Amino acid sequence: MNRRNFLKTAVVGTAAAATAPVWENPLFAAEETAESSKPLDMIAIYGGSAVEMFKKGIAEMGGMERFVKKGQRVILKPNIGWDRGPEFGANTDPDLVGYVTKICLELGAKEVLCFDKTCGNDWQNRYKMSGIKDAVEKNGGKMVDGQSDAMFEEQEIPKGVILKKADVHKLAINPDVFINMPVLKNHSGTKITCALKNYMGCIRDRQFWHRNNLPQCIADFATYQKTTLTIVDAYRVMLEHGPRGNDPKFTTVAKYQIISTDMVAADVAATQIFATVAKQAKMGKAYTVDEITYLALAEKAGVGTMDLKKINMKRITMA
Amino acid sequence: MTLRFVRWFRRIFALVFFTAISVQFLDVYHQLPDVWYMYHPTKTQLLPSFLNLLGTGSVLAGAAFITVSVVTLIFGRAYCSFLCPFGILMDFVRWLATYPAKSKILNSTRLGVFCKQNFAKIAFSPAWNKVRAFFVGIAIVLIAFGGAALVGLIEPYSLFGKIFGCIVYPAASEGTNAISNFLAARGNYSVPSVSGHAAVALPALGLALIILCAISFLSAVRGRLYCNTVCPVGGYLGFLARYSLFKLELNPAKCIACGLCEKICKAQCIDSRRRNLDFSRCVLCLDCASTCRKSAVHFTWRYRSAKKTVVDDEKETETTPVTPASMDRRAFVKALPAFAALFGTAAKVKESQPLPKPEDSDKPYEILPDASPYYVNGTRPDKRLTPLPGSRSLARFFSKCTGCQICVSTCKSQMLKPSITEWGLSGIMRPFMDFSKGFCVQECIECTKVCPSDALIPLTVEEKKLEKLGTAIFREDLCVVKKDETDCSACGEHCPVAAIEMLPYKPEKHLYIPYIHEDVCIGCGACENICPVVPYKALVIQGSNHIRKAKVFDDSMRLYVPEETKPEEIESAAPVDTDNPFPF
Repeated sequence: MNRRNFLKTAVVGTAAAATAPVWENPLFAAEETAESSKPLDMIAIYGGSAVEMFKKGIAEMGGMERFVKKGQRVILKPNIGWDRGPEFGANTDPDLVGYVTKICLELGAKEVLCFDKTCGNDWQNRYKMSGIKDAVEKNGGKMVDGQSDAMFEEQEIPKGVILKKADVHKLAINPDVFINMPVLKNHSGTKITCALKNYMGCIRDRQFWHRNNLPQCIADFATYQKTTLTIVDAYRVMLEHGPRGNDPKFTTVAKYQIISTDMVAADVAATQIFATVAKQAKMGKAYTVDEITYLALAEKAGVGTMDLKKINMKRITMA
Repeated sequence: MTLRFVRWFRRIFALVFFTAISVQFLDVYHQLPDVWYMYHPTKTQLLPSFLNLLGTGSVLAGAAFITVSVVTLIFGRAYCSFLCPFGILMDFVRWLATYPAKSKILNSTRLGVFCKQNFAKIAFSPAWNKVRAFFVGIAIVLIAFGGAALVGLIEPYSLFGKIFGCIVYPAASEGTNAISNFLAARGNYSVPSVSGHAAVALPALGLALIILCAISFLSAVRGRLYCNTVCPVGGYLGFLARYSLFKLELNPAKCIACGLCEKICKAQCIDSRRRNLDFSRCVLCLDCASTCRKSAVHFTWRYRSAKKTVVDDEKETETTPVTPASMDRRAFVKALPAFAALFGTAAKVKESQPLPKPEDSDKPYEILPDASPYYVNGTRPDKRLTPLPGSRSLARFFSKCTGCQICVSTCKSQMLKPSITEWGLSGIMRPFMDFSKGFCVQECIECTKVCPSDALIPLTVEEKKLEKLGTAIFREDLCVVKKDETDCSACGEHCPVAAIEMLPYKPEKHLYIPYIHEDVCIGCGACENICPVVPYKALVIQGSNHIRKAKVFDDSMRLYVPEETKPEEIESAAPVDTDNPFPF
């Protein structure tokens, strides 16, 4: 089964599932692997608030203690790009970031630091407007400047095809624990922005990427960045006018979340969720995985797999 | 008995006021709480308030000008020592310069001796009334003909602002960053660095340094010489002080002509030998009253002192050549109608019309022929700069802005910069929007809140959101989507008003290219700032002469609507309420 077929199946969805042969139905295939005793690679949750979904999901993944050990320094990389409130879904849900901060500290993390290179000079304004500054600081974490040139150091990217060197934020260099916390939303350039694209907030010169084949640069940087865990916040999904957002009416409360150790798989699942939500809300465009060109490039570079069947995953629907 | 306390009262008052106004220039984190705009400390300044009064005709806007004028007519130039930050700065420099001469530890050192010889002693100097009248005249003519930026080079508040905005503020920002980086390198993130790049261009820094050096030298050697020669505010207030109800005088009954007050008078207006105090030049620092051991320096009711002159006329006639010449007064009265006419023309330019509505702007956006964003024979002619938010029009902005730099220090994204040649030489140090440093944050109204001279009218966030400063012009052949056939859309992503629509370019390659809805574009510069093309950006903001109201983007404007998904497919898409909401 090639990807296109797989997607068609996905799009037709569960209502048509009965008519499809069992071995072609990815749902069944996934359920089978989920039963093995191996720890889960990915969990998809639906139906609660961002924090509730995370609580439930991380418990199934083996608890946060699987990823965070005592005395480690935890770096959170949410999306705080825009001067928009949480209702736009332009930035990661502040409650979720706050909760992750809290449990990491409860598990004995040395400190929890959170940063993003915002899309504009006024980074303090954006940290504040997104609500993330308050959420993180209230729970004992710290916000770190992601903007000044002094915070970046040049790093080699050995597997880079175009991006061979980049000025990387100090916190993203050899972190103990690095948690990628993207928000799923529409993006005018790359169609969808999620886990891989979120790493554009780790480097200084984004314009270099835009000039030099953006999808390839996104894939290149993903080969460099150590990632412990990816938490995709799809509680609110901005379907149009992304990534900045023009009006909250283009944002739907979709109530999804993906927790994964494989960034590429998380992005594939997120893309499919985006398509589903877009169709239901009759807004935006139901992009296919093929259209998100950096995913195939990232798979080729060995960042992860695009084939969700290879992933040991579980789906949870909350009442 | 000396009246030492009056001097301390003045010092403490001035220090508090100076701090209040400096803090506005030094808010590196842009976190100062909002002040109602009339109470913003910068609104107390005389010349900006005068410009404000002239433009708006509002008594409220000119409150500072009116109050200070009235106070001066009663007590003299209290403004110069109590409210003028530039004057207070000069006093501080003078205190520093004379400190080694007074200090017990330093006075015998070479430094102490040097200061004593060069700075500490100061003597009476005759008034330069023609120079004063000349500068007041220059200021009036410049204001009337829209040369406010040049008035800013002689006017005290703007000079103070240039020193603070171009030297002290960048230094404070960089200092904060240095501390922050030092700590961050050691894993301590408690001091955040500041947003944006606070540094100004070297020529602006140089000019501010020249001002600082010049005024430091002048005040060390000659005290308030600037205030009684160049300063147009000093000239105007000095004129009023001649007619003030109360005047400082040396009481001939008590004065022993010891010369103590003359030596300490930084305005150099006391002639102790003749027991005369030129009240037109007195900045009311009250140092003389504090120093006089005989309490001979005192306020007198104007008419009582006049009576005295009748009694003692021989002595008075002797002193008249030293007091301000009555010739000036006559000339001034003659010139009054001319001034009125000048201000009439000035006020006409500055009329604040309401913003034209979007319907009025149906005619295509006008681009000056000399301001093309495109290449002409391989080079790009100067692009036209945008007016600042709240300025209504370039003409209005030019006629009001004195370049005090308060907006430059306040700008959240630090993209307002003092111009050197950008506005032409007559607009030197006037702020301009430098899109290479950042872009105008759509919901930020900080600069309009702090502007004391009404060059920027206070806006509400809702007004600011649709304030159309210019239009982005797109040059397709420079765009990476066309040139290199890669995804980019940095501009579309940054546009706060959805004025940039990404249209399918080569669908088989999943490429999209920007298209600009010119009516919707607010000219904030986000696209120009982020456009990755070097050295010439594929998107450039072309400033407009008049600020308009932008249209709000709505779906009917959309040129490209993604293919409709077939209805049956929508129905068969996994509905949320089934057991499995996941598409995979």
